Amino acid sequence: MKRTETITVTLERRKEVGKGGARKLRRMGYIPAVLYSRESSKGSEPLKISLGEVERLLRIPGITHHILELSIDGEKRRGIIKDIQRNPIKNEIWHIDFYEVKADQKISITVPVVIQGEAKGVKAGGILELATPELEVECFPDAIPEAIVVDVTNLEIGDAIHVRELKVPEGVTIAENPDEVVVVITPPEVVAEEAPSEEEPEAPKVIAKGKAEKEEK
Amino acid sequence: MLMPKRVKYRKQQRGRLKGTAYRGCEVDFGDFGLQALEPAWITNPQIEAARVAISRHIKKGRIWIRIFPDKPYTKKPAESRMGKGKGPVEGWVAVVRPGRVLFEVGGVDKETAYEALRIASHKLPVKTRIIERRVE
Repeated sequence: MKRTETITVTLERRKEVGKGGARKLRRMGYIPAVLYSRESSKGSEPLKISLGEVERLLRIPGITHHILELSIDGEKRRGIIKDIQRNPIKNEIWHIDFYEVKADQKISITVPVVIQGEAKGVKAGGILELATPELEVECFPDAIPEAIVVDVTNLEIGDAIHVRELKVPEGVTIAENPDEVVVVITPPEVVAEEAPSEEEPEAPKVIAKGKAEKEEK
Repeated sequence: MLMPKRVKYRKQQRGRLKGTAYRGCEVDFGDFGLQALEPAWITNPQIEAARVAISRHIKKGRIWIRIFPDKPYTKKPAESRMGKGKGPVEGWVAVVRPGRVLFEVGGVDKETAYEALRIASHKLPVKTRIIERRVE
């Protein structure tokens, strides 16, 4: 989906707070959410969003990198999805954080890294490893890039592209360590059959000396 | 086999395996992962057996082991009377709670990765499922 397209999210204010309130909402088919902004003195606003709306949102590819139009009881605001909490086993969504953005305030948002071309190293049998699939960038809300494109065509086995080597559009800065690896072509791992060793592995060294001596007595 | 190089104390209390994992629940490094659905202590030979099973099947590609056996467990010698203190360290285990990603595989096609992780799951004392990297 293009960034220019507007995605509207319908939210409602909620009175239910806390663990019990959140559970009650989930039973009623809502997901608890909050909206906060850079002006932290205002605190966060407790909101709720219907499960159907969440499912519709999450079907949109790249939704977490998109500016949304938040309709809170009819009041229009702009924001992004900052965090989604899930049950690790059932994959149910527990809670969503929305972050309000203003046109004149820089925001920090994650943007996907897109690979362009086929690396020479991959043709030679190497493995292309996308070490950082998403990068955190700082920019104004209207200048969020759709993706950071990384051209890997000239990469040989063992070559890597770091954050400092990336080309980003004007007005966008990458808020990551410049030495961080984004893409690397690793040599194919050859599985060497290890002969089982007869020796007993050495016991770990105990560093709390006083305790170890006391135990040995 | 995996075990710590140095530890602060030789022996630990057993602890409890309540709740779910709250970190290490997503595929973060590779493309496919093996996720535990039950709590368990996974020993270093079990981790090693699963790792060998994956690497034998995928031949090339990368494996990430997302758990580390950093907990010593002790056992009293056979035919010894009760008392006289805690027994000697018998081995090392990784404490795994439901939701934890145990292994990840990258650089191979889906069928190979699924089959490798399926074989590896038979070496482990927990029910597992195979998950893919989440794209949002």
